[in-house]
Amino acid sequence: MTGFYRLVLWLLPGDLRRDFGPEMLQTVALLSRDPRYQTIGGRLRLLAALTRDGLISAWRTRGADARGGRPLPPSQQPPFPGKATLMDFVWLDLRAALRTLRKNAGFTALAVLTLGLGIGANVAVFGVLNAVLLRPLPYDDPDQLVVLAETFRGNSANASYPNVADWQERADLFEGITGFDDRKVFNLTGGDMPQQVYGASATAGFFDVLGVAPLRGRTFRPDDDVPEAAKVVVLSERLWRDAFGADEQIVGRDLRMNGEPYTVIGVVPASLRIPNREDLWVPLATHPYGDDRLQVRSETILEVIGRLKPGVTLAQGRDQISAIAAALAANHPGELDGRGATAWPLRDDVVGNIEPVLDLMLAAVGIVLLIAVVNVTNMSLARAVTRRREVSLRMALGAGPWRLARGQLIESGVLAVSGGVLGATFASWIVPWVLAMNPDALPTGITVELAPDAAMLAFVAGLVTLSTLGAGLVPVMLTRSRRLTGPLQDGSGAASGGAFATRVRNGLVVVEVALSLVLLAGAALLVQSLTRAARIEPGFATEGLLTARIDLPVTEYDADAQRRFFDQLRERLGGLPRIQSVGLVSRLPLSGATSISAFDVDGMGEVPADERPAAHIRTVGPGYFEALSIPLVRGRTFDENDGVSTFGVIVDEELAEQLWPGEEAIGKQIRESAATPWVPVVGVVGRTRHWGQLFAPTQTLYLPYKMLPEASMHVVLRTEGEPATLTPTLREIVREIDPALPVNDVQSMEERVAGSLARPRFNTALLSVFAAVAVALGALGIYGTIAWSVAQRRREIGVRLALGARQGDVRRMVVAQGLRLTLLGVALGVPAALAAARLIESQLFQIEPTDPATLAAVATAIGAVALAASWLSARQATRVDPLTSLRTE
Amino acid sequence: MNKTNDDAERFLPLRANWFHILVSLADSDRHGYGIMQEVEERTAGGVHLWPATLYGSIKKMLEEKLIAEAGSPQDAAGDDPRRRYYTISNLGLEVLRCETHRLETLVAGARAKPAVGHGERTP
Repeated sequence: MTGFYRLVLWLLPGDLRRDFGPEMLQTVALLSRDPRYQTIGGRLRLLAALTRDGLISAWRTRGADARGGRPLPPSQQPPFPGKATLMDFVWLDLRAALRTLRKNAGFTALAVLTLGLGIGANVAVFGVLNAVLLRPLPYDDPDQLVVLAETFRGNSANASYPNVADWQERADLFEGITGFDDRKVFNLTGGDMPQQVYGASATAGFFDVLGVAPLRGRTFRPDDDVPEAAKVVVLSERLWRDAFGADEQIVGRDLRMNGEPYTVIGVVPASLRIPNREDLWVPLATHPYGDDRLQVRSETILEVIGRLKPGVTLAQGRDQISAIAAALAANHPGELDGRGATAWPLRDDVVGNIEPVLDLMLAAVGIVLLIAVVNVTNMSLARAVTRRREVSLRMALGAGPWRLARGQLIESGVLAVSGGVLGATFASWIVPWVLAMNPDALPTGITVELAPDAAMLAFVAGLVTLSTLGAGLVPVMLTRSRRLTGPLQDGSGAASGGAFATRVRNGLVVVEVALSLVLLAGAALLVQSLTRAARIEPGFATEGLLTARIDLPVTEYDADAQRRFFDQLRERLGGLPRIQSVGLVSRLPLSGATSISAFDVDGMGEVPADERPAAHIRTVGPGYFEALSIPLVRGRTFDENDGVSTFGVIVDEELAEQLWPGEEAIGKQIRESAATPWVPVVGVVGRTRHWGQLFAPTQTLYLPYKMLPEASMHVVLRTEGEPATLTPTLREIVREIDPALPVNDVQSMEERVAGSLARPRFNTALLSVFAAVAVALGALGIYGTIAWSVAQRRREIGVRLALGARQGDVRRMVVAQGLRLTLLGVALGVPAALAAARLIESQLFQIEPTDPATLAAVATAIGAVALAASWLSARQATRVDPLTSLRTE
Repeated sequence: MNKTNDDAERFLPLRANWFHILVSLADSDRHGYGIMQEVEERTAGGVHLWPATLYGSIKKMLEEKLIAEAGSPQDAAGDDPRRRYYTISNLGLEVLRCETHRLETLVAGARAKPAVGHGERTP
């Protein structure tokens, strides 16, 4: 602690330090023995208090010095009549700094630009981080909100309505639990014009659990959420504005949705984005499914959010829910076998897996800033060395080291503040643009506004302070050590002295090279990983496919009607000339949705409930495998009779190998449960990667849709020519069958593939940009240093040339100097890059973080850039006219 | 008004830190760390004079002759020789009295208002 306090003492006026320094150090030693300051937290508090005290005293006492007391040295004699304060001197220094910076416009522009790049990159990434991690959930006390879900074989999914009702009743560690279902489509009339809107049905506590207060009217009450209640609806702010022109009289207004009357009871703010960007919410009980699935415990149709009571931890809540689920499973054997329950923070759901990526980005831009600061330090140092004479003169005239240091710090402060302003502007301009280009880069529901909130301002202020100190401190320390002040005595100026400064500058360049190597290596690994991922076949042919989703409102379509609708749709589409085949599927590959079920396998004998085999279930129509070009390995695909007169299932190779390794799968039988008949396997098809190229193929079981129709299906059309040109045709045919039905999520399969790689591609692009900036700054640093040393050795080079040295020799000499620094930097950077690559291991696909080829290539690239920079300065060196250079001295 | 009083008036209103230091030295000579501890105890942790502030004030108060260096007391024989003791001067005592009187007048004026009264501070 006393060692640290010596630094604080340095801030204080010389006489106070001289008279009381030892006593103050002793007092600090006594203080640090106080039991209150023995813990780490205590030490930090003491450290902070001492620093603050030192800074405030320094400010005050120096102000007092300036007001009178001992006579000031001539350099500090105030030009102000009467009382001058410290601020007056700071103002003087500021004006001097601005004058100097204006005179050296080239240096100033370069330094501001460099710092602007570094600070801008940091502000941009911090802005995203701030939006995503620091203020992600616009709800009351968001840390108490958890997602609850039933678990089954290591997978967690939604929960069933009866189970949620039991959770609500028994879980006393929760203030409230709410379940909701967001796949609801409504035909809305009664607004400005009839339209299709999306809504969620939710249990009565939905808004209370989230802590969302209505903008107008009220939200649900328990008596709204009973089957016989009058139908009510809560509108989103967005729908209220768009469809009802923000009508102030909206509450109490009657609407017709899906042909039924609803009364608007309230409007909720647009910030509510759970589950997604819903247009409206209705009570779950008044919006039935048209079948009995709300009564079935194994129908996991609800997403569930709970609010923990204050002081209850996530682990306690999870234990309770899991215990309740275990009790329920024991009470409902058969139905709930192998099902448990778990909980995780809502924040994880919203923020998802972007957190490590953002951390990585922040580390990357931190390095960029470091390189930028090192560069500016380097430039300032070069100037400090060339200004040695000025400094010596000022010292000789009585300027104290504090005064000189203050000038230097104020100068670097001006640069840093300008860089900060430039950087913030740059970031506020680039971030919305980059995000608009990559809508999938962030979790849904997160909006990034680079608002200058307190966190952002503090961050920018911190960056500016760091840059000021970073770029100003080294020159200040050199000034203080008087290593720069020799030349007044020897008078020879540039040609001699400065050896120490040269060493510092060389050291800085080595650090820069090493840092750029680390970033470039990371970027190169990610780029390769992405290229390899993009090359992987997802298991189906992606080109020429048009995909879309159709959600049938279950209130109007029962199971038979659903089957009839999709039959008709397939028939109409199949008759069109430019459509080769028509497929239907419940969950499209790369759509990010799945459903997993367990089943019995004939011949496997009795298996405990939680060890029954399971697979991803897909309900498909005839022609699906043909449309996606998923190869048929053995047996047959589905035809029109499957699910009607014949029954059979299809497995993929992945599942076949797991269930019947080395055996023929065709003819084997499976069933859903003891209550359902055995169904034979009639075909084996190729593997598909359901989650995208970055994930392993999934084990999939295909069922014919006529056996088990679903209200929401994807249509897949294999087309001739550009898929998008068939979109209008598809919409028209759907409209012909049911004019009220929207066609959702229309995309070509190639767009889906690109979308599934959007986030990794975005990360890679960002990191590559940072790496490019780093390398550019690094090259600038090398060039600057070499050019400066060439300038320092002008006379020497002139003499060499005059004495007959060849230009080639001089060039080689200069290049060798640059090469030496580069090699040192590479030697330092390679181990650092190896260590840093571990951090991105989880982001890498099919490439080792220590891939030697990548590292070698990166080191070579850095070497080449450095070499080019040295060569440029070498060329300038040999352009030296011996006579001119000799004359200048 | 006599001369001492005039001299003392010059320091009013007294800086809070100086006031605390003078109070601390009013009954006994102390070293810097002792002053720091006494002030903290007396104000129940409300005021903490950290070293730079404390010694900055001590330096000024020595210059203004409000306090003076004292010889080490008898029982401090084993003390570190760097440790200096400070004592309050006659001027310092006078300044302390004047400031205390001034504060009393201020406080009495405020207390006379029913809204302020003698009640506890509302939390």
